[in-house]
Amino acid sequence: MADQGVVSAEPRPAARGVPGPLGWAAAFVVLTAVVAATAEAGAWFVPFIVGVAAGVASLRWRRMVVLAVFAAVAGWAIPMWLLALRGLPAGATARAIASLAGLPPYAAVTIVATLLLAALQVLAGAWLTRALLPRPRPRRPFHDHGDFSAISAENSPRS
Amino acid sequence: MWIRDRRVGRWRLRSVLNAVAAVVVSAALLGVLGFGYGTIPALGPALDPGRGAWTSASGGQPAGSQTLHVPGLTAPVSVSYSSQGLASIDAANTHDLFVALGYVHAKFRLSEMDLERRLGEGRLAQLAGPSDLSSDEFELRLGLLRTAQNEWARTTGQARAALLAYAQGVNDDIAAVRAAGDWPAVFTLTGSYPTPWTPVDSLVIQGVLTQELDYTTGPLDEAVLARSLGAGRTTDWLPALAKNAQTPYDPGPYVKAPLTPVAPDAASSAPGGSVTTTAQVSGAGGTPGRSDDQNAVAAAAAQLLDQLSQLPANQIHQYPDSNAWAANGPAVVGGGALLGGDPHLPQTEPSVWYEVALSAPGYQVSGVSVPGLPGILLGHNANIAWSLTDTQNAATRYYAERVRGDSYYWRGAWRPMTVVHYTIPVRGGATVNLAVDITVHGPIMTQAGQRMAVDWMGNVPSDDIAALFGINEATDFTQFRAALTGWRAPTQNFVYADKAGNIGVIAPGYYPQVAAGCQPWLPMPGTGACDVTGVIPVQAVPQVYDPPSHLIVTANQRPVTAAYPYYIGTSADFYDPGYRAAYAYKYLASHEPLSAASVAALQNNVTDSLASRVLPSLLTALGTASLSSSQRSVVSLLSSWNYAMDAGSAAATVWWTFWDDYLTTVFEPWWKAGKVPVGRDVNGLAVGPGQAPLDEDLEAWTLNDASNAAFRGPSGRGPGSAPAAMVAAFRQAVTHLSAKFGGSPSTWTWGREHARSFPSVEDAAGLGYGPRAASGDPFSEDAADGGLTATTGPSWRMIVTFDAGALSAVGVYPGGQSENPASPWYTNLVPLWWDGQYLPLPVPGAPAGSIEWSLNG
Repeated sequence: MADQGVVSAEPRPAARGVPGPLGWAAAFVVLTAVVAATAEAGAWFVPFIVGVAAGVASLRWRRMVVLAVFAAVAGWAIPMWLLALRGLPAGATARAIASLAGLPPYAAVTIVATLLLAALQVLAGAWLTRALLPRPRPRRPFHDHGDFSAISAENSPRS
Repeated sequence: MWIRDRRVGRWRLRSVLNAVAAVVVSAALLGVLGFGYGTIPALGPALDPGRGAWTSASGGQPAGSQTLHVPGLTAPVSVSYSSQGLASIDAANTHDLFVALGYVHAKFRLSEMDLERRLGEGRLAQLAGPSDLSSDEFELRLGLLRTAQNEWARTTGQARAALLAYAQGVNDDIAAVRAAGDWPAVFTLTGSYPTPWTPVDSLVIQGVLTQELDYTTGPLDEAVLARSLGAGRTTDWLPALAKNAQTPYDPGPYVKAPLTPVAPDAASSAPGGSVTTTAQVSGAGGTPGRSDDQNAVAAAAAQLLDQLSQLPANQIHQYPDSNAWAANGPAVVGGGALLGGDPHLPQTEPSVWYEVALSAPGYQVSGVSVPGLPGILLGHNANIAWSLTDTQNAATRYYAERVRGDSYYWRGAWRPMTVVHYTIPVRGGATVNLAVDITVHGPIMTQAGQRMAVDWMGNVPSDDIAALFGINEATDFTQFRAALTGWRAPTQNFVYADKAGNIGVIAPGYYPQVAAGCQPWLPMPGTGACDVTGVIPVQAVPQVYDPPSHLIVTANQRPVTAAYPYYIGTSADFYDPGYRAAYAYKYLASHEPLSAASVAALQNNVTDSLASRVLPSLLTALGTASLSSSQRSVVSLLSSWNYAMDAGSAAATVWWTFWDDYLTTVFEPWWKAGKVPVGRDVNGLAVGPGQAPLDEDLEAWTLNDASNAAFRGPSGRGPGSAPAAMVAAFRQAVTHLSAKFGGSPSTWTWGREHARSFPSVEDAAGLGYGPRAASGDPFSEDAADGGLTATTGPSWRMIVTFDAGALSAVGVYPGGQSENPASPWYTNLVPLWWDGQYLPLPVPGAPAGSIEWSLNG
């Protein structure tokens, strides 16, 4: 007779439909690549679209929004990094942009502002999707037995 | 159950609110990012790391050899660069030469060029928002655009061809940048991209330069002072001829010839904008307002000064600090000729200059060009060299107009005003409509109360580009002089030296004259009695050729003596006090035979000539005064001082503070008693070393009239004499400096008090150079003007020598050839300039260095 108190040493299999680490990594790489490539093409609004998609996906995989934020930030960081790799003065350019924009003349200001724009777009997109898509009503408190959906207005004593 | 229902209701409400908030925030975020809001630019495209402002990094990389397609060319052109960025353009014909120059200018200075034309055309608010609306309104009223359109309509020949070719080159670069998407950051950030360049844009930039050198508020300031201090005192203290000793370069004898008529289509003509003449000529009648009422005139002057005070810095002329000297014969090593020139202008990053050599068959010139304009403004060709200083004559006349409705009263009749309508787009604000009223004198600059029109010689079409090509190609003084006969504004001292060992100077331009009895140093009645009757004929303007002294010095001083038979302005409007000119004459004469090295030493000299004149009197006065021990230690600093405004000199700090306090001690009580509205125009009205006539008065009284009534003050209880005022000012200066710096007086070094700063043309923090502790003051050859953090000084230093026919030319300016702050050529020349070093000018027709661009059509 098996001892009910013994915990199995084998890893618990992933819940059905939840990506494993490789799945999350693949999603991150794909999203990052999409954001980076579209940024090079001038499609600055793609992080918002990624956020919308992440919002949909987050209804099933809650961590999808966080992953999308990191992917968008990385996707926008890559073109900047490529500038530096090509020997272009990315830091000095960032400093100049900050100055011209009337911000403190530091490269970090522009870099942070740029990456923040990507992150904000993802969060706004995800928020929009999650707010507009139908979601289950809150579960009833522990002392209620039954489902809110079963409660009809007609049953209300004040109706 | 009702609790459950409430919970559901709240949940539904929250869901709805959440959805609404998400939609609103998302829309707002995307809207702001995509289209901007108010003055906030569209940050999405601006900061897109692949296509936004980040791509301006490509303009910041070091230039390398490459082949470029420039459609406007008819034949290949070679552009070479030295490792410092100095350029040399070699073309097969002058058309291609100016196409290439336009292309190269735009490649390195497109933002600067666009900003300058926007300034002149009244389009800054479109870029920067409501803060620049006052500048746009001023420029559209004044009419740089109208003048440029007038000039273009009459431009012919070589100048027309060059302007067209130049515009083609600029547009070729704009097209290339548009195709690549790597705009300078200022365009991407604002979302306002440059429109195609036109010849009128170039002429507007010529107008901006003219305005910055030639438009003054002298008569307005004098009207305000006359009302506050009294006409007699104002005339006495701001005289036409300075009270101190002067060293004019043209001592006479002078020619008195009939006046030359002014071109008839000056500021009153009004192409551009939509024009209406709404009033009917009604002939004499009605009751003209009392436009000659001095109080009304002074109020109008104050109103206009208020408007002008809102303009960006340096938009009108303020600081006269340029130098240009020439020497020849026995005064020069080798017996040839020598020229030194350092025009002092607002120092900015990027600079107003772009250094380049231009070569095409029949056209071989090297020097500095102005981005936006074809040709070389200061430099040399194989035979001659030239440099410029501002002549400083009064070229701005103000007229108090009698206005009734849309008419003004002139020569006994009511005349219709021409009205030009403009619309001014404002970033983040509503478009502004502007109607400019124009009389026969020029545009009306005030909007309420007494109307004031301005008759500014900069509004007269001036064939400066043709004149520029004439001097670029001249081989002797006759040709040089002839080329300048069409030059009308800004009046400049063109200092000259040539291969044959000759030197000269001529100051061409419009010197407006009015009828005897009129007072051009004040706003004049617009009734016709005091209109400009003509200008000084070119044969009578200040000029000298091969003077017996073998020396010519121009430093913005009054160029002629009191015997000169024409009115050219007052000490307040607006000649330099002459300290630099006097010192340069003395220095050059004492260092003969002169070489490039001795001229370089003078250009970098920081001796305060006024100090050398006044300090002995101060020390004499202090010798009999009762002083504290710390005051005596300061006296000992001054006693051993060599008058050099070195950054490490404590005596320099004491001198400057003393002179400022001395002026204040003597004049400030009068200013307070007269309630001078200094806030209207601090530069023109406040007591301080920047007021040349007050410096001159006080110097002259100190040396020759120590008991002048001014020392007694308006109450009669002032110091009473120059020595007493000097001792009081000295004590005040020591108190000021002790409070500010504390410690030992030997630590009060000038560099702790005084700096130079070269702000960026966009006035963006962090993109300029400095402030950095610096030597010099406004009275030294290496002038530093514009306050204790100086922003005006030598914008270009050049020395050209002709020794036995061999030409040698060096120069440097405090900046770099590229406007891109990320470029290694942004401020790379500043350290050389700062240390008093020079670089050889690129040689026309020879590679400037190993970096080569092949431009193909």
